[in-house]
Amino acid sequence: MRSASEGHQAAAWVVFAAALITSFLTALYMTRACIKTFWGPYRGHGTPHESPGSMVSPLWILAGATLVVGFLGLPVIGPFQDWITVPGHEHHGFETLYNIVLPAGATLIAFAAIFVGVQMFMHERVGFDILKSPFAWMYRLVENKYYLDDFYLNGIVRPTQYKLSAATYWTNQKILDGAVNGVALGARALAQPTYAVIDQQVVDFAVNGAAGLTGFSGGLLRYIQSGNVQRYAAVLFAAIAAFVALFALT
Amino acid sequence: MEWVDDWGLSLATFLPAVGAIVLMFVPPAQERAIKFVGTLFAGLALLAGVLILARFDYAAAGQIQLEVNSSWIPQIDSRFHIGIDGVSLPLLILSLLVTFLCMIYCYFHIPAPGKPKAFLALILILETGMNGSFIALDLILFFIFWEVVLVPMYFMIGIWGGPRREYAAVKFFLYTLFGSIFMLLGFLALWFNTHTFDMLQLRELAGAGIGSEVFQNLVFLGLFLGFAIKVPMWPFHTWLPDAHTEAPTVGSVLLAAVLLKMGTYGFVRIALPTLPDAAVTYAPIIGILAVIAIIYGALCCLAQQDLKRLIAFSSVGHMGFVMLGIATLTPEGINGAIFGMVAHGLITGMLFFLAGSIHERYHTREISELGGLLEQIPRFGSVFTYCAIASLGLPGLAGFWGEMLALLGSYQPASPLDPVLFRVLMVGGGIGTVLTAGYLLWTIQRVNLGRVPDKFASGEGIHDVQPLEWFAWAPLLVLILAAGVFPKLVLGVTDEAVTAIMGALGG
Repeated sequence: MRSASEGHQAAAWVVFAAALITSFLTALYMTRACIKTFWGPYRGHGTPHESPGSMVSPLWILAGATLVVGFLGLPVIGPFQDWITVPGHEHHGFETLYNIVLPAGATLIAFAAIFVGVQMFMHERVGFDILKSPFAWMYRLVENKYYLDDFYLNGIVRPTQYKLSAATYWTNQKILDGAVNGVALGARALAQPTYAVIDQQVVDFAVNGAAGLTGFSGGLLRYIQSGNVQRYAAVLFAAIAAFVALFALT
Repeated sequence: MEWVDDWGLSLATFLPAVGAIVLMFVPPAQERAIKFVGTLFAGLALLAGVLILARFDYAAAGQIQLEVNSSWIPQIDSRFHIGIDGVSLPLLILSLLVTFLCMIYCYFHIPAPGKPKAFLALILILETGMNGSFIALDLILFFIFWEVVLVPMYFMIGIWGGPRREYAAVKFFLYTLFGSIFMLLGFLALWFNTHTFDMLQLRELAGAGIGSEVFQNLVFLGLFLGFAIKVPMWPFHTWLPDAHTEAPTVGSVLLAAVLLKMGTYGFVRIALPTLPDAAVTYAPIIGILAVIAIIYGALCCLAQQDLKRLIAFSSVGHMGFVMLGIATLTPEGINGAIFGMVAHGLITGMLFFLAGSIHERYHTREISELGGLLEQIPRFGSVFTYCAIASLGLPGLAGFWGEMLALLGSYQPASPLDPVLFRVLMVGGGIGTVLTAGYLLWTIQRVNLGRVPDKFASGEGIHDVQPLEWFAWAPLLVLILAAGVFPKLVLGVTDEAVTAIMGALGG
């Protein structure tokens, strides 16, 4: 923190304060949970019984470890400081930042919270009902987890799951697939007129027309190609006469 | 064993076709003999595949191996040129394995209207087309194998399919054919410019650039249409849900596991190395379409009521991840794409087996009518849950690596591409993974969990996984896990080959 700027300094204090408040609240609600569970009249329905050894023994191990492990953080006892110290950067390390005030203060705050919790929940010395106070909305807000889950479920998940997906699928079926089917239908729609009009009428007409024309012109040419030698000679003579006349006149 | 170098690939490819011819001479009433012949030839082809695996030099996975290059149509200098490298090997083995498992599945599941002889013969012809597509190194040869695949699948859907089989079959055929015509035009344009159909020669010529920029872009567009429809990429995917849903179970399995990969393989093997500059031009478009497909496919899955149609739509999203990987033009992305192809083949192939088996047991695929599978048929329900979770890309199972590498590649795409665009695409892909997890978990919840509906409570005809089903499925289930925990199984083979192909892209 020595090299940190003043802005960072201020931010660090905010974080520190938040951490202290959180440690107070944590101790408070754990106290409440313990008191509500292990003290006072029984409010359940079934018949409570002791857990089997298979469940109790791990609990003992975990509870025992909980008591011990915290002390490993003390520089004089545990190796914890070595694990989080980067070689060559010892001045940023744990032992230089370690300050007995921090754990001691946090522990004091936790004890204070336990004391307050016992007064509130065991002796019920605080007759404050938040639901009847102007802060009821705060209770509702945190009770509903800031409504974040409702926002996720009803604002994002459900609309995507039902509305957006249905709209996308509609697009798929009606627009994209519609275009594909449209092309197919268009091709089929073109097929009938292509056959009935273009092929049977236009092309076939042309073919028939060509045939008719051939027949017609053949009919005309028949007169020329009669096999009559005198007529060939007459046409030949007429042609020669025409050419002679042409050359003579020019 | 040296004969494998010359004959291994040809045997793996053409033994199934020989099997189809042998089947012609088996009397139709001899059902056991028909199934035996079908399984035998698919098994022999798989055996050839195992020999290929043993013979393949993994230290030189970047080079074409087991190459055969002989004269075929000298007039246009189209050659019978085949060979494999690390990119094609996993896909060839996938095709061989899945077809064999389909044959085993057919031992007790010949869909209505029966006719096992024709059905199995079509599967064998299909296998020749699929295997051939992955080994061809000549564009015309590739095109022929590519088209060979269409015909048997058309008949499988059209004859053995569901209620809308005729519509689905025609749509599948025409749509794919439409794309492949443009692909063929692209091949011809390449030939007119270079006078070769040889993929390896084209790859070498690509270094100097083939034709003008406009020429490259036009040819790439043609190849793109052919491959993109096959993948299928959004918005050319609408043949897929119909074909997958209407096809008989093994037809859907083969479509998902192998046929779709022919499209993505085409990009990696042909389009990218032959037209590297155009690939850079098109990569952003491909990336955008891929991410649309990921999100769009997942949303469509959420809207489905039919389990098989849901799985069909899931392919749109998964193949979107494969295409995103390719679009990054990075080694990570393309390795991930090939991994994704294999993983999708294993997982979605398996899911189609399961959807078919659910229909066979419950006579319905409506998700709203199903429930409590884990209670009624716990082993089957567990297998279904396992595959669904693999499909959503859980780390440790095969579905994860393809998606992860595609996203990784998008973070830092190849240098000529815009990193900002691709990072946006990466975020889009990430959103897609969440949606994918959403619809698959919802499906598990509705189908596997909950109570058994009253009408199925008697359990009549509803049996757990049968011994032959285990036999057909176990290899896929094991490979899903193996590829998940040991991705080197695939990546170790593909990496060098990808680097070799990327060489044309100028790194």
